Order: sequence, then C-alpha cells, then structure tokens
Amino acid sequence: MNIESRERSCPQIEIFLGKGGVGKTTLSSLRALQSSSKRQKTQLISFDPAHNLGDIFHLKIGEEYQYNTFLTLKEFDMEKRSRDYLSRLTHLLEGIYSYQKAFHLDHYLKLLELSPGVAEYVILLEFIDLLQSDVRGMRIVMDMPPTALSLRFMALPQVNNLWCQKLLFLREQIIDKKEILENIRGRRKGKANTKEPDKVYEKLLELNKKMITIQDIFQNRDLCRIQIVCTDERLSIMETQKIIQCLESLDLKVKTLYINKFESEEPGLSRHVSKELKDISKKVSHVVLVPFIRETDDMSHMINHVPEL
Amino acid sequence: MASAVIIAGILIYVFLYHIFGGFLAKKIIKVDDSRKTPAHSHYDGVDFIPARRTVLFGHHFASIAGAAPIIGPVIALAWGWLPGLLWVWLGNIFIGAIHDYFALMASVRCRGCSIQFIAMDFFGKKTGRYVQWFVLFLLILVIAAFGAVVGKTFESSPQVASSYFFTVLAALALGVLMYRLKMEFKLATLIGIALLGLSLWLGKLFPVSLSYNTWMVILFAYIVTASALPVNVLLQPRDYLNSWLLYAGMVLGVVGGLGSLCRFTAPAVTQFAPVVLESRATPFWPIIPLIIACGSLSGFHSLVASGTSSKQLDKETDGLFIGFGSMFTEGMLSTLVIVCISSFGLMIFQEKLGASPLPGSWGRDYSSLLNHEKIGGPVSLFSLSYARMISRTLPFISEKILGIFAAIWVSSFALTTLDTTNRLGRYVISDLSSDLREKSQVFHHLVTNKWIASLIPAVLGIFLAASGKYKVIWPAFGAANQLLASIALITGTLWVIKASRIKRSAWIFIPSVFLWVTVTCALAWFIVFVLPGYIRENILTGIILAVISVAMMVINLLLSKSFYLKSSNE
Amino acid sequence: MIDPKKIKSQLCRALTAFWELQKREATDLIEYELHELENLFALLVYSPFIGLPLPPSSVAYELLPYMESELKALLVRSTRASDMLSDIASVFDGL
Repeated sequence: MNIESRERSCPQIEIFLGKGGVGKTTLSSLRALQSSSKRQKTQLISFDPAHNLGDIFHLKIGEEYQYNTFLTLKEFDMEKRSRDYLSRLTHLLEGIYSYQKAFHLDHYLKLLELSPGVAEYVILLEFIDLLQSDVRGMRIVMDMPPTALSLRFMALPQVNNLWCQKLLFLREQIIDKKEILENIRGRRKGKANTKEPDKVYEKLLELNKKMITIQDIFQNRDLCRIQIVCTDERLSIMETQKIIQCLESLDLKVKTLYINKFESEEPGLSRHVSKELKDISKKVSHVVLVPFIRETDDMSHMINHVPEL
Repeated sequence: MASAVIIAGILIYVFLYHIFGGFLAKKIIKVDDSRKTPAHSHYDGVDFIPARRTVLFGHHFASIAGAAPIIGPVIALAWGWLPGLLWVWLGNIFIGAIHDYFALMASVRCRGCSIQFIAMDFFGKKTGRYVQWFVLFLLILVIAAFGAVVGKTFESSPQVASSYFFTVLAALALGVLMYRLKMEFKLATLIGIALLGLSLWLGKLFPVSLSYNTWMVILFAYIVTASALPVNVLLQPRDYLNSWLLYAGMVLGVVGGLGSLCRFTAPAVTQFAPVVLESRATPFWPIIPLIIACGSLSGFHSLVASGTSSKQLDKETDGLFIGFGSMFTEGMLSTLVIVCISSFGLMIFQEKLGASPLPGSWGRDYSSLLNHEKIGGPVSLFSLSYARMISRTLPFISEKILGIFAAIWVSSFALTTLDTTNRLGRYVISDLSSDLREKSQVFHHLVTNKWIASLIPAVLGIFLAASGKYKVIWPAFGAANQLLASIALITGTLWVIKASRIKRSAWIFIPSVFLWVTVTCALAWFIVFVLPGYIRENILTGIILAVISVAMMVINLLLSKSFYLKSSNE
Repeated sequence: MIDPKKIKSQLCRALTAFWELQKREATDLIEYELHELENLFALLVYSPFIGLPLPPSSVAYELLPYMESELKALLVRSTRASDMLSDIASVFDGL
C-alpha cells in the first residue's frame, strides 16, 4: 500500500499523551465531542486501564457504545485482549505442534503470559484492527495509557522493524544453507521442502511490512497528530519533556501541546508561566491553553468553556 | 616383498577383525541389536539420526584419517621397517582399534555422551577439565608439528608449494559452484576434480621457491585467514576435495604396491636405540607411540567416535565395522607408507643426495638424511617413494605429477587440520577460561576475545614450528595425543565393563595399563633427555615446549591418581 | 558359482553408498552450521527461555507457530551444550 492510497483510506488519528491526572481523558473526550458536533464521524477510544471514560460520560460503556450518530465510544480492555491474544496463539500452536511438543511449549507459554512485552503489542494489534476496519474519513481520538506504556507502543514499530530486519538476514542464511543441502543431498525425511516458501521468513516479512506501514502513519504529521496534555506543574512538565525527547528519538514530532488548568487573565503565555513550559512550547507546532473549568457533570456545558481544540 | 606385506596386512586385519573383533563385540561389549542405539532412542532429526553402515564408516574414516598416519611411520623407519610395521599392526589391533571401538560403544551406551563427559561422570568434574587441557595442548602441538613438516616440504619442493595454493583456489572455485551457484552436484564434483588435477599441473609449471621462515609467515597468515572464513567458502569444499585425494591416494597406493613387485631395500631391524631424536639414542620402547600415532593409536579418535559417529549408529552390531574397521583401514594406510619407503626410500636418497644410510649406522644416517634440504622431510620422502612405486606399476602416469599429487595429499590434510584446530582452539580456550571470570575479569576478557582466543594456538604453534625442529615437536604432539588416548581407553574400558557387567578381562585391562605405562615413560624420557638439549639451542621455544610437556606430565599423574583412587574404591 | 547379476547389483549398491557418502562429505559442515543457525535464530527470538533479556516479544509470538525445527534444534543443543567437545572435534575433523 503506498502513501497516497493510505491517505485516502486512512482515518485522522489524534493521540493524546501526558502524565496521569493532567486531564487527558477529559480533553480527549471534549475533543471527540467537539469533532462529532461538527458532523464529523468520530471514534473515541480509551486505552487507559483506569477506565474513566464511563465515569466522564456517566455511562456503562462496555466495549463499544454508540453515543450519538457521529460519536462512538470505546474502552479497551487490556487484560482481556492480552488473554485472548495468548490463547489464540496457544490454540494455533496446539493445532500445529504434535501433542508432545505442545506439551513442552505449553510450559514455555506460561512464561510468555507473564511477559511484560505483551501490553504494548496488544495495543498495537488493536490499532492495526482499527485501521483495517471501515474507518474511511473518520477521526479517531486515542486516549493513551500511562506514559511508559504509551511510549513503548509508539516505539514498537521501529524497534520491531530493526529486529525483523536482522532476523530476516539470519533467516536468509538459513534458507540458503537449506537450499544447498537439498540441492546436494535431495529432500530428506522430516525436513521441509525448500521449494515451498519458508513460513518463518514470510511471517517475518509480513510483520516487517506491517510495522513499516504503522511507522509511516506515525511519522506522517497530516494523518497522525500527536498531542500532549500538560499542566504548569513541575512533575507534569518534566514528564512532558521526557515524552518529547523520546518521541524525537523515534523521529516523531508533537503537533499540539495543551496546557490544561491554565489560570491567567492575560492572553498567551504570559510571564506567569514557568520558563520550562515556555521552552517546551517552542518545540511543538501549536500550543492550546485550556482554562481551568470547575468539574461539572454536563459535558456539553464544559464544551462551551473550552477553546476550539 | 611389498605385495607380500600388503597382502599379509590385509589378511591379518581381516582375520583379526572377525576373530578378535567378534570376540570383543560378543563377549565383552555384548552387542545386542534389540537394544536401541541413541540414533533411534534419542532421534531428533538434528544430531541423532541413524545412518547407513557404509556411509557412516566412510564418514568416520574420513574424519580420523589425516596427515599423521603418513608422517609418523616415515620417521619411525629409523628403527628399520619391521619394528614400525609391528607397532602399526599390533598396536593398532590390540590398543588402537579397541580404543576407538570402546569409545564409540561407551558413548552409544551412554545416550551419545562424549568420552569427556563419560570420564567426568566416572572420575569427577576435574577430569573433564584435564581432557580439555590435553585437547588444547594437542591443538597447539599439532599446528607446530604439521606446520613444521609442511614448511619443510614447501621449502624443498617449490612445485608442491605452488600446487597447494592452486588447490586452495580450486577449492574456493568449487565452493562458489556448489554452494553459491548451487550447481548440480555431479557436475560440480567433476569440475572440482578436474580443477584439482589442473592445479597439480599448474604447480609443476610455476614453482614458488621461498625460505622456511617465509613459509612460516605465510602459513600463519593462511591459518588466520582460513579459519576466519565461513565454512562454505573454503573449509567445506576443501574437505570434500580432500576426501577424493584420500580415496585416490589409497586406491593407487594399494594397486601400485601390489603391482610393483619390489624388494625391501631398507633393513628390517637395526638397533634398539639408534639416534633418532636430537642426537640422543632413542629406545624403540617406550618412544614409538610418540612417533607413530594415528596409524596405530590416536586419542583424537575417541573424540570423533563419541562425537557424531555414536549419535548416528544404526545398530549396535554396526559398531565393530565403524570403530574397528576404520581403524584397521587407517592401519593399512600406514602399512602402505612403510612399504613405499622401505622399497624406494634408499633409491630416492641415492638419487637426490648420492648417499644413502648405511646398514651399520642406519638410524642415525636415515634421520639426518631425512632432514636434508634436498629431501625435505617425511612428506617429501614419502611422496617421492610413493610416486616411484606407482609409476613402476602404472608407467603411463608421470612420476613427477604423482610426486606432487602425493605431497599435496598429505599437505592438504595437514593444512586443513591447521585451520580447523584454530577454530577448535578458540572454543576450548573460552571453555577453559570460564573459571577465570570470577578471578580476573580483565584477563578473562582478554583471553576470550575473538581474535586473541583464535590466535593463541596459531601463534604458539607456528612459533614452535619456526624452530624447524619437527623431530622434537612431533613426539610432543604424539605424547599429547596418546595421553588423551590413555584417558579415553581407561574410561571406555571401565564403562564397557560396568555397562555389560563382566569381570575384569585381561584383553582390555592389559592394553590400558600397557599404554599408560608406555606413554608416561616416553614422556618422562622426552622431558629428561630431549628437552634440555633443545632448550639450550632455542631458549624461548624450548621453554614453551617444556612448559607444555611438564604440564601434560603433571595432569597425567593427577589423573592417574584419581583413576587409582576410583578403581580401588569400586 | 559367481552370479554376474548379483555382482552387478552389489557393485551398484556400493556405488550408491559411496555417492551418498560423498554427498555427506560435501555438506556435513554446512549441515552442522545450519542446525546451529537455526538454534541461534530460536535463541534470539526466544531468549527469555534461557534467561536473556527480552527482544521485541511481538516478533516471538508471531513466529512461534512456524518454528518447529528451530525450537527442536534449540532444545537439542541446549540440553547438550555442555558436552559439545566431541561433536565439534568430529565435525572439524582431520588429525
């Protein structure tokens, strides 16, 4: 799939990052509401394990909830998805390996379930599913989980790519040696035919392509807007700095910085704002100041108090 | 005479293979085909795969056959042809073949474990370490010994030297054809053999004459380069071409030896202790096993037997053919060598030097003339005699080409060994230095560094070889090899006895004890009589050799102590 | 009595065996290297099994179903890793 065709079929993606408690979920919800009120088909998906999307909308959302004609709400159940993913894998394995081998691997699979690496991959899988579903012309607002996990997710395509490429190289060597052996010794009992394509190689290649696609989407600033929410507090600023730094190392740029709970009479970044926040502001394309709003139950009331996001 | 000895050798080997081998298999090892071999019971399609009997035999034989069974007997001719021949025959039958067979069967009975692992199981963890030390010494000394012998050959025969480098090019080309372009195997083989022939002819046309020390530098560079290349570039195609050299050499040798109808011109027996090593009267016993190693007995074989061979044995009854049979074939190769030199060695000396060893002072004369630069050491003498013998029977083949062929055959095997030992050395050194990690991290890091670890055997080996005294290095190499054999033989014997629950049998205990006593005495004699003179001449290399020899002696004594304690406990 | 047919068939058998042997001689090192590469591949992808740090596990999960021969090599060689001296010595032959 080339970039142009992807641009046509690809939805608008908005990723909300930031320290826990700065108002990520609130702002992404407001953003989704604003967008849907303009008759733009929008999907709000929360990857936050705290599950407070339902609290905000006073709804039991479950997996998916049609809020109104233009807005769909989704809560991502990390644990369930991880379990599903690993059990799908186990079934696949049991189908392929003989009983005894599966017995061995079963033992290893238990280890895999504890694996810390599965969380970000499950998010990535969900992301891929999302892209493959019918989302033409849609806007997808993603409320991201805590920073560490989010960054691992953002880094995953690149890390995987590098790894896939190295493994592909090693695999090519293996295939070459297999061909040499088969050429001279003929097909041997119990060995795969080298005339058939190497499954591991194909799978790796497929994975590599997938990762490149996602990496391209992440890096395309028109398709994918990375936004950070922060407040003028020391910890929040420090975390924001870290996020920007980490994204830079992945060649990703932040589109918008939301400064939430902003309490100043003067417009713009006045002298009341800390120096660090000003420095950060220079690194992003847009800065949006969101004034402090007293929490109300009514989301539509809140929209009126917030600037265009 | 030549044909008589060859036929006698074949008959003795065939007869004893059936009688003595049959006895060992039935009464001592108690082979039983209903017992599954590891190739079946542990079948995994990776390491454990049953192989056809004949194929496994050939593979095992190709693995154990090298340059040593040819070089050793040439040096041993200083005692006359009969003592050497008897050692090749008797030592082979009563020690060497048993050693190989028992190592193979012990490994088969022990789920395919290596002889080192079985020894560790039997005598404790330290023994495994000792085995590895012996292997390391063996690797260094084999580089030294083969390097020196090949260096001598190249120095004296410029045509062989250039031929060899053409064969390397031929192997490289074959590697490209077979593994890169994936050419059809038969066609690639034909082209490979044609290229091999071509390189002999080209070598004859373009000789390269260089000094011994220059050859040492070139060999060193060659080892370092060759052992750094991926195996499919040089090592594999050259191994394959080597196997053709080996078969051609043996078939031609048997045909030529049977057809030449010549008399032995060398004396059958001379003195018990002629001057052979370093102007010292060298007694036949106990020194002979240090000179003739692979043809009659070699510790390295126990590694091969308990390595890939034991994991691919289809039936227990096949073991005799693999272990005993291939050792006998190697003994036949050594017999051929003795036949060649006894028949034509004198003639070659006469032609090249205008002088030949006198019957009265045969040992001293032979040893010093062998070293003469116009002869060029054991490989050259063998190849010249061999060429003369074959061209007598098959006069249509050019003697000159035959000479180059024989020299290439031996040198190619020797040089393949040089760069493979370097690869092995890297592995053994990093394994041995794993204890160092806690003691000194810096040193450990240094020793296990890719380049340093793979350079240690090459540097030490070539440095020793550069002294040019292959007659001092060769026995040290023999000692390392035979000490390894002695551990393997004792381990294999005890294991077989334990596994088949038989009472002590003299047939297997006497060889073990005899071998241990012989080799220990020989090494002691070597340290006391040969080394001091050598150290006076070459201080640095002398000290290296002395350190290695003394270390081998110490390890040997430590081992025997633990053997003794263990067996008195049981 | 010497039966020429029998001799011919035996000769044929011997030649086939010899040819098979030569094929092995020409590939034994590469075969060993192949198993080692497969082992290495499995080790790299499933390094947590032997206590190494985790590479991107997603790759490991996706490949797992197709890794039969590699995992086999991994299992075989990992159980035998402490006892490889003989194997290596006989693969790199020639003494």
